[in-house]
Amino acid sequence: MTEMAGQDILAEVLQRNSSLFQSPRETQETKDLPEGIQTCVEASTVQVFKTMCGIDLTRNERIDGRCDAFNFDASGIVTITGATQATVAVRFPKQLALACTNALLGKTSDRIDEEVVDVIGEIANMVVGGAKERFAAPNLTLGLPLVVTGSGHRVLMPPQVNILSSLFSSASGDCIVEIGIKPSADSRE
Amino acid sequence: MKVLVVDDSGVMRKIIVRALNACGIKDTFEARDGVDGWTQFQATPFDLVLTDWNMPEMSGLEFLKEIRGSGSTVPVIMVTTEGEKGRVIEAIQAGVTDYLCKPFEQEDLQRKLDKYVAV
Repeated sequence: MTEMAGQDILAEVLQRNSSLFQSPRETQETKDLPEGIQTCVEASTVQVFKTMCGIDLTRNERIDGRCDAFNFDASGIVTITGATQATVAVRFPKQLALACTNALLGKTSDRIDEEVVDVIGEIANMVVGGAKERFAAPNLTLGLPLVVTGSGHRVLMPPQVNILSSLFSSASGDCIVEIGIKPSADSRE
Repeated sequence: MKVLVVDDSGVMRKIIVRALNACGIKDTFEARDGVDGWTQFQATPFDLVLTDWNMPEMSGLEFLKEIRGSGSTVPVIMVTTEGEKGRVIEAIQAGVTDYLCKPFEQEDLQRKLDKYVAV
């Protein structure tokens, strides 16, 4: 058995972080803006799909608001609480959800079953976890992932929440990541 | 060799168990949160534990503290999205043996397991 000393563990994780986050990490100025959060979420989304599922996502356009132009079959939703309060929804068409499940579990399915739901929740969890690391604001806490399924379902957020949408394409279908950011008390004044 | 895998995500448990099987480890046990993990840990002498951090009921960190509080020196690998320096230090102070950040390449997991798995 080999045991890593604490300093070795820390060095290894920090080295990983520096190699992963050198480009998307934001400056202090832009980090405070919703676009800073969006950039972190986008970078994390691309990384999670590539690393865990071997799926190359290309980010296409950004939309200021919700995107109702596409029909999605499942959404993985995770909340962030703390100094920044946000909700992130990773929205999947069935084909992409099944492709991710096949890549992660080696399982072929033709419907969104319990395992597919679990995959969607885990992907959403990793996307938001990675974004939180990139955003590097202290004391942010993630909620447990929630998954909503159903063809054409909608994810609604309260009216006071600013919504930013990022559209991605892949060989297995397009997906959208919606970020709902609650304005801070300062910005509402 | 008995290995306990603790994660609230069934997907993640399956991925880890599959990697353990690839190392020749068939004696794997699964728990869905820290409470379940701690109950199993008290009942069975494990040779290796892999645990997530963020779980309902009892977190991986609390679970780790229970393990170390019991006097056990079993290797515990934290497999988590928590990669911030402060969080890693927290886990080290609680007695974690090794650390793997999600998302990870399959080879990264395999490399970690190879270090602790003696078939």
